[in-house]
Amino acid sequence: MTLGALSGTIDVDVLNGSGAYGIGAGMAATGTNRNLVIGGDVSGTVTATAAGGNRAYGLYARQDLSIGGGVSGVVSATAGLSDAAGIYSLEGSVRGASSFSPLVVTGSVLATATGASAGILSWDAMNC
Amino acid sequence: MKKKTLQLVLLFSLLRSIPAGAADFTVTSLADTGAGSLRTAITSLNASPDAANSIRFMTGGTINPATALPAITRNVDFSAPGGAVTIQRSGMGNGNGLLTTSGSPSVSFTGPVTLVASGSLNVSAIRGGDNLWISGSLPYNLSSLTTGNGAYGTYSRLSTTIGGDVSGTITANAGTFNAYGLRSGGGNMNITGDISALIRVSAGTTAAYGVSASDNMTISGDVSGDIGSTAGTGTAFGIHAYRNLGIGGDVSGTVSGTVLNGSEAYGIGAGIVTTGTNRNLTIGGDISGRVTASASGSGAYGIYAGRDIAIAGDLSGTVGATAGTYGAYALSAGNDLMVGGDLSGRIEATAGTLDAYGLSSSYI
Repeated sequence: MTLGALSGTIDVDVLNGSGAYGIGAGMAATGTNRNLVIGGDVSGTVTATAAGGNRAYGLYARQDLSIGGGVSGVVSATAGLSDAAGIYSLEGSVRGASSFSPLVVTGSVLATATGASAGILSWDAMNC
Repeated sequence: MKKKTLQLVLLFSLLRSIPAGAADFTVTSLADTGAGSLRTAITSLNASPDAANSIRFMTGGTINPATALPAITRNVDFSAPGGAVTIQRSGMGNGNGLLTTSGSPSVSFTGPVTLVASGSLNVSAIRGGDNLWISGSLPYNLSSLTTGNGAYGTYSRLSTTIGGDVSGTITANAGTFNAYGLRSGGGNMNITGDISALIRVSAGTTAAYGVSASDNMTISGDVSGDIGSTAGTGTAFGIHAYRNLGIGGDVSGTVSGTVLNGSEAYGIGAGIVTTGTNRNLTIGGDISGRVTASASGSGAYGIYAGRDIAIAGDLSGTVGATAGTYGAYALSAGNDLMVGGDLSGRIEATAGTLDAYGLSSSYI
């Protein structure tokens, strides 16, 4: 998935259950195009809430997740039970425009859950 | 010799001054039958050897055909220099069109002509027996109402081509299932202009579609109108293409699909066929309007494609999905999702019990 900048609002709610994704790239375990590339700045607001359940993610990619312009806005994830992450790469890396460029966060990345939670979570390398 | 040449030149000039292949038929009576009636004009039209023909309504008012009008077999333009005309027929039977074409002639409307069709089932305001070819814009009002299934603003057995804008008001209301504003039943839908129309479609039970193609659909211009489809118990689409959907310009209007008491609502859906690669959605401009889907049960998709979605411009409008139970997808691509510009608008997805996604991709 490829986007320019994100200056708007993404608001995702599961009212009483699991699975809220602000942006989810690579929902299947196999196949191509499982990266998330945001070329510009994330200056808007991304909110994902799974009230009473698991799995709430603001920005999610099965593989690499890169944000070229940094995060100056707010990315927030809340799970009533477990597994909340603001920015999350399940099998890849989290970074800036390239592997050698850090993701710059000047805004807020938040995650709240009764169980496990992480503001930024990456299976592979993280360059922030 | 010079005199003979001059005569030939004059004769040639005279022949050139007569419009070649054009015949004009006038409607001077609002009666169903007889001299000057629409029925007689269509009968005369069908006997015309000319490539271009016109039927001109010289008297405004309402025409109530008691029985089916003859199918149109020759190219024709309808105009109404005598004032606005409404052609209205109730009690239509299975498969009837108020205006029906046979053999794919071109039809155009350059005057205010409103078509109102109603009956028991499978009724169309305009019905293409084969391909439906509207050579200009579709600027006037179409209405179709059935007590049972099958209400169509336009319907074609094969493909539909509209060579201009769709800008009137189109309503299709079916008492049970299958209500379509514009439908190509067995081929592509090609609209060379904008859709700026108000389109309202409702089905009492299932299958309400604002604009639908059974194969590919191309809208060369903008979607700037207001397209809303509502189904009682399942499956509503604002815009639907079974395979690829291409919108050349912006989506600046409002598009919605609503299921009141069931599942599967789509604002814009392409590539509903479950296999193959021709399941893509391309939008050449921005999404600056509002595209939404709402289902009281499961499966609400604001914008969906079976494979790729490519939006060349910005997403500055609103895209939303609401599912009462599970599966709310605001903007969802089976394979890849690309937004060339910025996402400066609003994305919203709400599900009651499970799985809500703002932007999502790569399910296959």
